[in-house]
Amino acid sequence: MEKLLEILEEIAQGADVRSCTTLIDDHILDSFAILSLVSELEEEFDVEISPAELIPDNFNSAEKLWEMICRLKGDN
Amino acid sequence: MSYHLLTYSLLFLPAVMLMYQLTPQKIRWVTLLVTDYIFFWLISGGLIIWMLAATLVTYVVGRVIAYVAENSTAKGKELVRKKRVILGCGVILTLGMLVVFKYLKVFGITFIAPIGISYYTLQTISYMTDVYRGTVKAEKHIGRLALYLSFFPQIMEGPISRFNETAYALFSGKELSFHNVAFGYQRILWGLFKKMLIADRLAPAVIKVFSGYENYDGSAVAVGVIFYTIQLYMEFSGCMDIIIGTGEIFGVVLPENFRQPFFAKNASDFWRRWHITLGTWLKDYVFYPVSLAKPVKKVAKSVKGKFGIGVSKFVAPTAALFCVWLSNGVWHGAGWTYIFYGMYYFVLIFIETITEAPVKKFMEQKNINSEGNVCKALRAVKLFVIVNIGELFFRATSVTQGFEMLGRILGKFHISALFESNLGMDVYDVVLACLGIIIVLLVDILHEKGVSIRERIASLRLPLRWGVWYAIILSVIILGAYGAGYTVVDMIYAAY
Amino acid sequence: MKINKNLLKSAGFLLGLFVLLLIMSAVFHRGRFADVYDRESVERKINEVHGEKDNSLEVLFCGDSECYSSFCPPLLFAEYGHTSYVCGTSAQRLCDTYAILEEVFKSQSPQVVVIETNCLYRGTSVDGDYKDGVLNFLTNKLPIFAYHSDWKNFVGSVVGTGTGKKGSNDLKGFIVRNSVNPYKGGCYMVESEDEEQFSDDTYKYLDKILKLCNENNTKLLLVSSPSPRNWTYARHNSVKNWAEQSQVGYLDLNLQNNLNIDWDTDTKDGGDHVNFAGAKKVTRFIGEYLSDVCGLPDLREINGYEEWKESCKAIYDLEK
Repeated sequence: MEKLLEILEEIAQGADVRSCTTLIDDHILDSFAILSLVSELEEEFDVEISPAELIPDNFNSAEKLWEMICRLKGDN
Repeated sequence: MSYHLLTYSLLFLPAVMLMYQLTPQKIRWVTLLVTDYIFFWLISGGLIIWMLAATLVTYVVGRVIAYVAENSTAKGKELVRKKRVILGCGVILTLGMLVVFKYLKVFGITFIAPIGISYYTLQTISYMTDVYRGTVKAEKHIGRLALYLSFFPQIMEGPISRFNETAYALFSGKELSFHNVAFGYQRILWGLFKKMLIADRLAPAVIKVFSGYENYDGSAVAVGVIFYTIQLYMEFSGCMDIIIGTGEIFGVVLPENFRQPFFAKNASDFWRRWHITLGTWLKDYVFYPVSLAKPVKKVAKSVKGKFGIGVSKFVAPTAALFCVWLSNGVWHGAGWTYIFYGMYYFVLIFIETITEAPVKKFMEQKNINSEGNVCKALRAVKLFVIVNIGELFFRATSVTQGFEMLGRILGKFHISALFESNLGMDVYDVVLACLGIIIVLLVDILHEKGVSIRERIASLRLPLRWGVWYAIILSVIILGAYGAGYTVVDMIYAAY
Repeated sequence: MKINKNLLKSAGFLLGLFVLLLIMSAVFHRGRFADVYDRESVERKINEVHGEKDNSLEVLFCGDSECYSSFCPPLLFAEYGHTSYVCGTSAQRLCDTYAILEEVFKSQSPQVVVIETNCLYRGTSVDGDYKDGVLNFLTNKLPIFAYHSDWKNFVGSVVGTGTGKKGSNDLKGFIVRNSVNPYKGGCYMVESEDEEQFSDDTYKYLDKILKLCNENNTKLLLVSSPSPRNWTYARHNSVKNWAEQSQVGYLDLNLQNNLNIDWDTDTKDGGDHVNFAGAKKVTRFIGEYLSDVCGLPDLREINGYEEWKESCKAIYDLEK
């Protein structure tokens, strides 16, 4: 989780990534940021994120992101 | 039949509302579906069979994917591959119809396309893909899917909605409520205001400049181009008001297509505010899939090895961005001007992306406040110029014409010649158009600040409230650009 | 109970609106030219012609955009010495033609009135002809819809400028269009016996206009300007029949081979209207006809027409 926050902080500069729950809805992460986030996460956590996962529900907060990563890790 | 006609809002719509309200709730969806098909018949006649075919294909593909997912013995990658093949077949079939109708004319084979095919085809693809991805459950009831693909206000020019956004509300057959009907009609009135008062008033000048730019000074050409941009905004967003207002009447929340686009920060922000549903569609079904595709990732990896992450992180998004803008251009039609339009935005947004970080650094170093008023104003002007150049090529009959017009604006610009140019509008037209634009601008500013104007008006005391609506209705009737000397212009985006 | 209250309110709102529309209709339906289609254009045109010296015009050209694209008065004067004015307005209907002529005859005594025939296939009254049935209905029933554009006059009279209070214009109503957009459709006047009848009201108005001309000792002449987009043999036959019955001259330039229209260069919009190059050919043809057949005198060397020579200069400037 800490690692995730680190990555997130780097990409969404200036945003309070710990408590924010509207990363997508408030356009803090645009589609380019999402892509860099995805590639970082894939490398860091060794998961494969498919386009189907790219929905606001999974990306709106650090917590949701962590849930997704855990789920994907479980799938492997 | 067309949304901007009074026949639609004052005759067709009330008739539909009456029929809808009179049918028992359980089968109201049938009333809606019959209305949808009558409406489609009115605009496209027998070509409706193509939409029925697309509906059937979409339904079957959705069901088969669901069946395979539940019953197939295959697991993991094998299952994904199977599902992908089925999805591929579905997309080829519905997209194939679009290609045949819209693009075969490049080879000299022309068919008359059903109106709306560009819009409902995108909805078929989004539904099938979402079922494949598992974000939407395959619909068992074909009626619900048919409703989703054919809702009559959406069919001619969008908005492009997702299954979950509209299908259930359409099917539920909710009672008409006084509040919904009143608010819906208020929004329709606002759409008519934009279309009749402003868009159609600017239309003659636009036609004159684009069809005979050789006769005009660069200043007049520039004005013609700006008028076109404004006309397109007023007309497209005005029709959206009518469409979304209609949805509101039936308790269906259609997605917004415009969000004060001219207040955007830059070109990519503009596209998150202009024709939004096309943008998000392209993002979800072109941008992400392409950038996460295996071959693209592979290339990115090898680039990383050679040039490092600073370069490689741009590979996947850029490839995807290229596909998005090529699709955006081509979706508008088979013409070089549209492809140019797409590529124009591809290049702009690409530049914006790679310069974002350096520019930010530079601003910080020089201690320039990028949120200051001067910066904001400069940004707005820059964006307005960018958008106008884009629309110039979008409207031109050929790319060459686009460049010739641009050359005229840059090379033969004499502000004094502007007042001698005959743009087919008198002083009154110009003044009124400007007033109308200012009103829309003010409303946009309020919307940007999150103020709901209809709620505000509704909270006024009765005489005042009615007075406001009477004034708007009368201004449309008296100041609308129809009748002698004007032509009511067909909806521009219904042609795409 | 709540629903009833809302229904009552809605009914009240609509009733109020209806009353308001009736009042506005009464306000807008007033004064002269109460029954013309495009009041703004009619008034502007009349003001223009009143700007000409009294009894100085020999020929008036009436009709829609075909008219002001095809007939070039300065050229007609420069080469044949006939003074004329284009009274054509955009999408002119016969009710407007009549209103303009009636008014112009008060200050002018032309020898020939030319009507370009494309306007015979337009409406003849103020009624709407939109694709929009409800808008048509409202236009026909509630004058506020028909005369709404009059707001310009209201505003004009308040601000004090008025619309189109400009005097005459240099090109005498002609509009120069230089752009070229070829017509590629080939032959369009295929001989046939078909007729495309005018509406009953068109016949009525034609008779009225003919009577008006006769009362003013003016010859009426019908001319079909070359236009593949608008003209057909069936239309030709109908116009010819009426012209013969009424003993009125009729020239169909679509059938005149010696006009030498080149559809690659002489049209501005793919065969809808002729451009300046085409207009020159049409005007010269009409000039010959007016001199030879109608016997109009050459006024070039007569005193009192100096101002016309200025106009000629304007047209030659355009050639450069």
